[in-house]
Amino acid sequence: MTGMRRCLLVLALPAPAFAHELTTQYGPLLGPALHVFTEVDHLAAFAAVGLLAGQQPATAQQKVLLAFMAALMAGMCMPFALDGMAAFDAVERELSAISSVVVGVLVAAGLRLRTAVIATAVATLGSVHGLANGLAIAGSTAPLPSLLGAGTAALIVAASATAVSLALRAGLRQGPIVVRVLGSWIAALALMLLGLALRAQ
Amino acid sequence: MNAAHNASRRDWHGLLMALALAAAGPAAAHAGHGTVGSGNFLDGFLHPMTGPDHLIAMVAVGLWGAQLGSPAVWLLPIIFPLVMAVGGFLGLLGVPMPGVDLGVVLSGLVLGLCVAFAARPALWIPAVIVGAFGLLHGHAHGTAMPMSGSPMAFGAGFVAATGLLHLCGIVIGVLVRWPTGAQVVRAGGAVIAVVAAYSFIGLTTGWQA
Repeated sequence: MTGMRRCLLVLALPAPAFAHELTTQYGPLLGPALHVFTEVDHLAAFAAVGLLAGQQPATAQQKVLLAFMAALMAGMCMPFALDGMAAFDAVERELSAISSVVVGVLVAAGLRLRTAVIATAVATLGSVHGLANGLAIAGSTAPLPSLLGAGTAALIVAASATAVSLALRAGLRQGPIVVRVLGSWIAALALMLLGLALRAQ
Repeated sequence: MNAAHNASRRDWHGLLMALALAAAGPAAAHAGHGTVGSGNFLDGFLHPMTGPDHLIAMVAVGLWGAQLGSPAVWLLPIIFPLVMAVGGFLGLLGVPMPGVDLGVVLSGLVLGLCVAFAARPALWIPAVIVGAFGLLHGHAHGTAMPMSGSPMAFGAGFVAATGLLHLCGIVIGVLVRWPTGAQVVRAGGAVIAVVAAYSFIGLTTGWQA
């Protein structure tokens, strides 16, 4: 199967429903994993991270994904280690949206920046989204499977988006532009999520 | 030469398939999840599709981009969603933007005329024109965004629909490769301008045929 066919297969899969609460009815492992796939702000943000990783030179792609995953896991664990993190709840939606706008714009801009800058952007996004999930998981009865489920799902989304990004760039002459268009869509969606969050206050 | 041409055509067809699937997937998945009017993805998707002023302006962006060729054909669809989202953001926050309705109608008229006359100004001019109109269209969408139902899904719907309408314009704009096709595209621009002029007269004078 060519890269292009793989890419089309991924794109043809039905998009997930837009759930808005941490799913628990499917158990402590699968519930938080599904939450990542069904919450549009997480899904779009992690997809943007993957697309951005795929835009980087081959030597930097793994570093970007690693920076994102390390920050995400650290963010999810933070509520267990530190007191007072609940205050983050008040600004969680706004910060999540801002971090997604930044990463989406970076994808849309298609600029060649230093790996440290890209890693910082995705790590910031990972820590903010991770903390948001961690606060929800901290109140659950089985936190370890929940951390594992949410982390694995985030890695699947980001790595899949990296694969799509690479397949598009390698399989199509206009592939790099398509990736940038997808980034602009994600940035646009995140900007409106920010508007919704601010309007709800 | 032929091999290069065929490879280029394969790239082009693959690109169209990828974009169409990316844009159409969510619509198919969500069509059964709610009813129109409940503030879901379908509502957001239909907002630009069922508003003739939005629809013709978005198609005109794609047509003009195709006439201008690379890099405008790709630059405009990247700029538009971003600027439109800024407009939507301002609309959501209730920041007033006078003359939005008039601007939306005028966007169809101006963009239609640009296509009809196959205008080829410096790249920054289409970017500014499309960006300014994107701001107005986004504000209109943002103001219409429901607070009930799923506003996030509504937002995703109108972003996807807008991108799909651009794609429709770009696909139709492929005709500019042939002399007769270029004339057909220009005629399409003229039709868009006439429809927008009709809306403009109706909006400013209240007259309806």
